[in-house]
Amino acid sequence: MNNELVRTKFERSNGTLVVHLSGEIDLSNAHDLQAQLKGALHDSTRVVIDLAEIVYLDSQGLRLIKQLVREAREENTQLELVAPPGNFARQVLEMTRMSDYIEIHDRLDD
Amino acid sequence: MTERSHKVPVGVADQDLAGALGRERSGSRPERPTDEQLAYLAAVVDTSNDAIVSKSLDGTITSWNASAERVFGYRAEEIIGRNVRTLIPAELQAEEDDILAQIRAGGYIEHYETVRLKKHGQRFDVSLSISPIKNQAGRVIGAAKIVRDITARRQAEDELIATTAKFQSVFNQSGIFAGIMDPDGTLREINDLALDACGYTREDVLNLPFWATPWWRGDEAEQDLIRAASERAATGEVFRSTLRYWVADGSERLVDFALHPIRDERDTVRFLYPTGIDITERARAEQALREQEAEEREIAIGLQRALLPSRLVVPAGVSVAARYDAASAALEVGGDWYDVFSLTDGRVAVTVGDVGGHGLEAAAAMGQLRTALSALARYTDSPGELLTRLDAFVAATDATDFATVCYGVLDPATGSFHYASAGHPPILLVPPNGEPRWLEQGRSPPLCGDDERERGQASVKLEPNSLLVLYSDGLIERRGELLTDGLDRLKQVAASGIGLSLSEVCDRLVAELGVEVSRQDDVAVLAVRFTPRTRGGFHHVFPAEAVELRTLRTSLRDWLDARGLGTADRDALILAIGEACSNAIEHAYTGRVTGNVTVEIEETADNTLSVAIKDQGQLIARSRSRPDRGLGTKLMSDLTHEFTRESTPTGTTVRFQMPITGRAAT
Repeated sequence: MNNELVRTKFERSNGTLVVHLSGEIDLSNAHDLQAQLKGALHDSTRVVIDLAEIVYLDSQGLRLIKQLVREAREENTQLELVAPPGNFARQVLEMTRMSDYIEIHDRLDD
Repeated sequence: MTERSHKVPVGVADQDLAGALGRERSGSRPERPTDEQLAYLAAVVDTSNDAIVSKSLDGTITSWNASAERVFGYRAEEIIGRNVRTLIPAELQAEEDDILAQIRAGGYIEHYETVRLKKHGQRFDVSLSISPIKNQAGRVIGAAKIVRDITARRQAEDELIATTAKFQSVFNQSGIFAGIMDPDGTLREINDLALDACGYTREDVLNLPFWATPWWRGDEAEQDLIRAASERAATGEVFRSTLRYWVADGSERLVDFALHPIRDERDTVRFLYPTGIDITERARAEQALREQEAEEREIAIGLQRALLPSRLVVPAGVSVAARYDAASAALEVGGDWYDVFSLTDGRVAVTVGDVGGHGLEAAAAMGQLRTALSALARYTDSPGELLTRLDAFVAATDATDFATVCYGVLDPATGSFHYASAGHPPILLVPPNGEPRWLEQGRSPPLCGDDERERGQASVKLEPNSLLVLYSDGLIERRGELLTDGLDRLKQVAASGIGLSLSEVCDRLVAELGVEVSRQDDVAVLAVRFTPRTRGGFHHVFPAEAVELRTLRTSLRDWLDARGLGTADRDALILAIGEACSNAIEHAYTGRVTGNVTVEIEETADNTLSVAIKDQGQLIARSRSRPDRGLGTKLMSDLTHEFTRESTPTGTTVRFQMPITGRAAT
């Protein structure tokens, strides 16, 4: 059994950092994940967080995204999300109108 | 008896013994002494303790005094006139020739030690003094001899020689280094072993202060110690210590050293007696033994673990966890076991036992009993009868002759728990609400292989989420403490475990009850929780910790999937419940002991799921919640119907409902 609730993979191409997240984000890991992603914002001009493989994301995950949006603004970094329609994260983001704050792509190559 | 020379010593003086000795019954008397002289002489001769005999030059006995009668056993009239050779052993007859030759020559013989014969042929040790008897012309006409029985003296001498020999052999061959020192510490004598074993000579060590001898050359502190010990020994104090010493080749060894003062009859210390036994090999052997014991202990622990179940498999409705903890003291392992197995009727058997004794034997016996118990359990529904059969097994094998066991069978469908105990401390029942209590019925004596009587049993109905704790006595026993203290402590710790996972319960019990360093016994703990699935409902209790959320979601997914919920409904419900639980974990128990969270889902008749999430925390953090914490509440209320939150001082309950819309048609 893989004990990691969420896995992160960093991919850099043409000045864009793509962070692939897979698994679940909840109270147990949101804080650590935020610390991990904050660094990525710092040294990139554009960051895309791919949530396509995320199967669970609750208010803790939303809080994390909200925090990243604020920090990206301060760092002058462009932050975008990828979450296909019907995806768990996409549903939660839309339900809470978080989609108003951040650009969400259906697919990574959009 | 030591060999003695019988060569006759030669006298040279011409001193005359009294011309007439003894009461001469015959023989010439050239010059008649006065009557007064004769009377005097006779008195001297008769009262002498020494045999006094005179003889002529041809050896014929001419006089024989009273002591001679006593010493030789011949009366005067029996022996006078016979030859003196009668008194001489055959192999010593030549002596007489020598003696007579010397006497004729005017010589004398003094204190010549030899052997003579008594009347009945018995040999005895004598000392002879022989003088010539001369006539007035100065011619030798006979001999007078004084014969002293020296048997007793000889024996004393022999004993002294033997004692001396013994002392020498003890001093030199006993395996003990020994020496003799003056009270000032100068070494005056040393035995061979102390030299030979160490490669030193007498010149290397004698007449030196003992502390300056090469045995101690490797360590000045030791030299000082010996000097101080010598000074104290001179005042009468005994010193004893294990010391390092050095032999000629430079290697270091260990000696069990003692220094005794030796006193004379006036109680003055006359010399000091240092002794030592080399214990290098013994010390090495002891070290090897310790290593061997440690190794054996490892093997016993290994065997123990191998013989205990590696995985406990239980059906739904029952959860279990177990721990085995080896005792800290060397070799005190083995003997405890736990086991959980399912019976054919779906019930679950749980047991903890303890075989008397420790080490490999106990571990092996434990393995046999554990196997026997699980095999026999298939043939009886009655825990009491099972223990009777196990006792018969103990009687039939020589695995052990003493064991205690508690055994119980839990029906996951009803919560009915049948149990029995053979001399084992009682099972603890911790109900979800209320006081823990001991299951003290169903008790019978330990298994000793000699009791064929029926053993009792009892039963109890468990509430859902009740916790049972089975354990071996190592958990509750502490040296110098009443057993009831240990039981009270177990009760206390177990009561706090109602909201914990069973692994945590076990860990906490072992950690909080098994902390004593000098614990002699090993410990087995088995925690059992009755977790029935309510009919058609979902029930999940977990400690209020974030890491537990994932397991909750897994259970929920399984349960919801099994009920045919559509993915959207399922995900919405999981999210809503997740939010409620996160709130409970994050806020309800802030700064407090972690409690547990209960999630219950019931399906009502109108295709609606009714959800309740309960905690026992206080809403301390609610008033200073972060501005965006409303997100979770918003999600819950958006996703569900009839969302309510009810807080009381004893806890919070969140309730909501979810219509089942996406269910596949059946």
